[in-house]
Amino acid sequence: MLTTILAHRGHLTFKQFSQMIGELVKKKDEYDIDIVIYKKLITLLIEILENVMKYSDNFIEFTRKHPEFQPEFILSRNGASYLIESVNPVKESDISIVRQKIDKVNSLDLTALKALYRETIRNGSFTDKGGAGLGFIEMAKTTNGPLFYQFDRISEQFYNFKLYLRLQ
Amino acid sequence: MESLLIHPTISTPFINFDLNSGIFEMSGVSRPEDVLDFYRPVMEWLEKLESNVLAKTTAGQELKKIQLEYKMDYFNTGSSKFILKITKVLSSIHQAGKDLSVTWHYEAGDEQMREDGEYLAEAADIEFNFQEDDE
Repeated sequence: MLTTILAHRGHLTFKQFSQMIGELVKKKDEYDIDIVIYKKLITLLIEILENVMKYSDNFIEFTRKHPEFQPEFILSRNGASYLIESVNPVKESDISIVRQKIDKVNSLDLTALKALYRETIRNGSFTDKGGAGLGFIEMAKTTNGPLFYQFDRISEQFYNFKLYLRLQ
Repeated sequence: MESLLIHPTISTPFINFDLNSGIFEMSGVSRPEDVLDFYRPVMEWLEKLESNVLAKTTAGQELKKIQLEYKMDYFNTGSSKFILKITKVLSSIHQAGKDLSVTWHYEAGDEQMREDGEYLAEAADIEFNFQEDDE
């Protein structure tokens, strides 16, 4: 049975982001989430929501005009599996870099992923948004599986970026 | 030169780099709203310490050893780069003649946190002691 543990729809502020982390802390006991899984969920939640927040300047005007395309986030559980789904608009011009980053981590096995993580933490630089270039690597390393994604066109300039992560 | 004390918040860590005892502790959560902004004064303080040690000022000479204690609950990937930078500056101070020990604490069963410590130790090229703590 699919159970929703956390859900959010709409523009995400840092305060709301912190509240969601706080919610997950409370849900840990309510849903009897194993400590190892819980730590991984925290990691995934932080990396996904930070991405949505950091790049919200790119789509906030668009979502104001088109409120039907708000960012969405859902964490659910089905038996022993946890599913994280996130949706947010991205500019068409940003698609290729996102696709390139995800396809790269999806092409690597866990050993190669860890090597890429070590290389990036040692030599990578920060983006102007304060990103460390480690987010997708961390997600793939944490889930030990592919990052599923798709882009759906929603306007001339924007696509909805849908990201699905499964944690066993 | 004063010790560095930063009180924790819901998204930032407790930092207490105590020059009198030589115990440098960083603990809790690190996912600052602006990671560059949060760690800027920490890095500036460490660079000042390094300068004092290299120049053998009174402050530099009074510091006999550094016992670095990481006790993190969780941190974002941006913070991991700063944990590495902090470790590297202290490693450089160690190469200038100060004793340095680094202990990476992690909650019992939290293998991911232990693994994160292993990555950072390798990236900093320094040996960490790993300490599994009960909840």
